[in-house]
Amino acid sequence: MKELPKSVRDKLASKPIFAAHPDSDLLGAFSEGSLSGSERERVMQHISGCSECREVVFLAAPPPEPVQEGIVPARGSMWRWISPVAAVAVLAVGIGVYQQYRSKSPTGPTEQVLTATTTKPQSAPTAENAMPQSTPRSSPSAKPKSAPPNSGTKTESPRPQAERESELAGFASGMAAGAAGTRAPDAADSRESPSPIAAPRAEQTVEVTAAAPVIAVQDATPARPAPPSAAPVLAAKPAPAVVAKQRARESSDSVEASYAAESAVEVTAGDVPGRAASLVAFRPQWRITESGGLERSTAGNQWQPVLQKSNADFRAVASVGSHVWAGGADGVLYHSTDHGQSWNQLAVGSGGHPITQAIRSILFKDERNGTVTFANGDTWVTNNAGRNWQKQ
Amino acid sequence: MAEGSQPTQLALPSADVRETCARLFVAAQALRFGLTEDAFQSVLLEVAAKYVPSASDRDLISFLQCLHSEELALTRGCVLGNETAWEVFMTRYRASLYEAAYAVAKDESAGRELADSLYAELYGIPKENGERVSKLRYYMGRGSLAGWLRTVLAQEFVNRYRRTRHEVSLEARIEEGTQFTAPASSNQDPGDARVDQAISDALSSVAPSDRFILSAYYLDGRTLAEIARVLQVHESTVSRKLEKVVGVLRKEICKRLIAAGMSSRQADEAMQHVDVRDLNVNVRSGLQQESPPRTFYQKEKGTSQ
Repeated sequence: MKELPKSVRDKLASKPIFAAHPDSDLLGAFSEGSLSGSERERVMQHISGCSECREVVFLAAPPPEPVQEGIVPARGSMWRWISPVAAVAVLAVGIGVYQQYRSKSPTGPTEQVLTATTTKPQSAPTAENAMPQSTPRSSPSAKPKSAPPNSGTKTESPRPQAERESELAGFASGMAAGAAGTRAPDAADSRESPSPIAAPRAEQTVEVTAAAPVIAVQDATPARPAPPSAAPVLAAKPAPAVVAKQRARESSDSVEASYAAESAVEVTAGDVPGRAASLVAFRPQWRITESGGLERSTAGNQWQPVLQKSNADFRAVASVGSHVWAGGADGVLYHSTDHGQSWNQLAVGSGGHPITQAIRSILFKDERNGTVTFANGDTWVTNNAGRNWQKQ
Repeated sequence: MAEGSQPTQLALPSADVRETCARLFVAAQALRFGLTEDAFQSVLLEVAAKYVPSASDRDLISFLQCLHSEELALTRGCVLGNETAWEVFMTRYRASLYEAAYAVAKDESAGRELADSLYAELYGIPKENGERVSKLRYYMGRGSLAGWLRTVLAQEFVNRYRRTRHEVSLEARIEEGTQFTAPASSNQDPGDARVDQAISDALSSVAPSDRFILSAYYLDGRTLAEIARVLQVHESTVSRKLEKVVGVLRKEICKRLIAAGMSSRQADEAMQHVDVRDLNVNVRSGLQQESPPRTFYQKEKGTSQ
């Protein structure tokens, strides 16, 4: 720390006090950060030159509280850990799929290949019947014709382009399902199931590689990669992306699911490698800088400032799904419904009289129900995403 | 209305203000503490008259909504001697009052004594006519009641410390080695008046918040963490601000010295002039020799070789 010359320190100490001492109420409110605007400025002006009041302010400062995190988790503490773990798992699977696809050369020897026959489904795949609510353990319609993967035969001929596209599309559907927060079933289930999201063609021979990842639509739980032993997997015709989206919408438990599903809609069989990265579930993170700025994370682990023009001094931020609330000094509160692309300013208060205290914390249980706590300790509750507020 | 002097009230509150007061009366559960709606409205308007005497209705309503109305009603109930109010006060604040006293005094016995004396004042000191005057009468609801109690404790502690600061026994002075301290000399070198003026002017241009940080750090010896806790910012923010303020202050003084007729070199020298009291001399390292001293015999032996 830079040293201050003695002469300056002496002059600083001898600075006269012009105003009378603030009363206990004002000093106490100053210590708690409850004063705002000119009143805080007046008290600050006094205590900057009054050692007695400075001493009182320091002694009366509230005991240190636990550090408030900038990002309020939308769910319980378990979800805080599951979300990044699921994202990493999906990323690892995506990289594995991509590496495998790249390693397959059209002229090179084909890896161990199994063939399986799928039967024509009873009806075209729709959002409803595409969901494998009950996957049969054994089905006569889909049987591996060759030996187990460890003793599989190798073929010298390159695979046709159509088959590679089919396999590639299978990866795409798996990725979409995985990103949408689905669970991978057992390898046996996948191998034997007639996969309701299979191709609508009557007979189709699908190549399955030994090292193919296991991802299939099951339910709306975080994705997890298949164990290494579960190698042979049926890679059927890619599921329509709408299936993943539909499932994601139905699975209201996972915030990441719906966001990933939006990306999955864009997946086509032709550009899977290029889309591999975008399929990874990405959820913007929010933080407040030391200078009171609001920032949002981007995919590249970088932070970009948000709401710079508002010149607000932000103190707290909370997010639930695509909804984000950010508040700060002078009772400023902003709300976004689209991950921070657009913002509306809200006013907390009743009878058209907004509260001008600094917002200390924001906590939303879901998109509609939340609480805002001000610096003076008052807590206001909303049950309609911040349109109306009631003092608690 | 609470006993004591009649409060200064705002004249003729509007319907909106009265409605707000009525709403706050319900929210604060003032009836439970023995206050009528009119009495509580008087209390609210008394507070408003003290802090925002000339506010518009809109500002007045915002001000009233920011008050800690429930705690205000509680304290006024205590002042009136309401049993429910005292019961609630004891339940909620007695333990925290003693904890705050320990934290302020940093000593258990001194903290207990401090809290006991304040507790007596809160209960009310009887006047000559037998009427009790409770210190809770002065709580206005601007901050929390717990914060107000901490502040009152801190003020009492500082006052006691100041009262007893000069009461040092001769034995203690002898132990400290300050029994023969010479009084501060009044005929010290006044220095260059231009430097004095430049420093005064530069300090006047510093913002109050920055001056608060400077004073707390350099005069009071507060740590960055303590300052950060009072200002409710991060410690690193205080550190950066302090570095910046000191740098700006030095530049500003230099600039004013140059404007006063000094050359830039003279201004730099005036700023870099080191006061002897600023020197932090490490006596041990200064006296310590790099190599152990040799005896006369060793020296003789060394020269003869």
